[in-house]
Amino acid sequence: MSNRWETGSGPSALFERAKEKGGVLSESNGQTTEPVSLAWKELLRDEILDIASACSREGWDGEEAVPISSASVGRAIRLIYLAPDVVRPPEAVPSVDGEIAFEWRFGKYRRLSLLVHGDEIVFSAILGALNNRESASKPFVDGWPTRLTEILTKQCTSA
Amino acid sequence: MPDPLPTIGVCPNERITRFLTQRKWFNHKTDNVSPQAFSPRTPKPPSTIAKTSVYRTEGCNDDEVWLIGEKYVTEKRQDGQRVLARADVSADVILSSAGLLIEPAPTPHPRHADIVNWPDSREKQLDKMNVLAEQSELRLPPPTSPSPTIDHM
Repeated sequence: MSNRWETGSGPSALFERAKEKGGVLSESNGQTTEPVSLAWKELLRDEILDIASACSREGWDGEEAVPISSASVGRAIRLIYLAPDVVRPPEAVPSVDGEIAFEWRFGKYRRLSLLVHGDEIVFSAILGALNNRESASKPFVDGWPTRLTEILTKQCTSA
Repeated sequence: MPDPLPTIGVCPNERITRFLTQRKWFNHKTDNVSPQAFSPRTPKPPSTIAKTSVYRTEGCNDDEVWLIGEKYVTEKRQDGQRVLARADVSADVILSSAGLLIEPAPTPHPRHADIVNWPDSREKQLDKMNVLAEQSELRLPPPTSPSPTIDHM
């Protein structure tokens, strides 16, 4: 399993690759072939599938990690495709309990972790200081929790 | 060579090491450790205790720490994957900032321990994992293998 941060294809590179893929206004013809947001989501979907493949057997971490199931993959991909446009690409990370987590790090003491656990969206953030933390669990229905979007919008625009 | 750590209680100023075996659990370019690196293992019956495997490495030099990782993590694996990095964190962060406990578990090595007292709620676990990741220091192995003996470490 490759680390796309190391190979130049992590969150910021995902965004750049999304633009290269055609998600930008073309200088030559003024046409946008594909929204940037959709392009990075497709790239992240591929990364999720790579992770799932690498973590498909029990004990993939050398200990007792739960395999990442097709159901977990489906939930993770659905979550990403429901991401609001303001959201920048996260890093996808395997979890030993068989989930795929998404992580943003905006700087020192500024990070957010997100995952789908069963039928809930779970997120937890550090917002500027270690004692300034926020977390919540919300039903995973048809979109991202408002507060989650608010936090990411603020952090993405100030990062 | 430092004395082995028996099952004595953990001091807040001890260095605690989590060996990282997944490339997605760290980013050496940004010195970031993923919170998922600290995610507790789901307990398997009859156990009911979620735990994260760590080593108490206070008093060990760098080569000795990597040797523990080589002998007791890499060589225990059957899939050929290696320790790729480690996250060092103060016991005080685990105990005070995250409100977790460190339980000596001297198998397979006297310095082995488990981070325990994880809440059942995934949301609360994630909060504590974030704290550990934020406060941990990413260390990469040296280009060559360490050479000290393992006998009394």
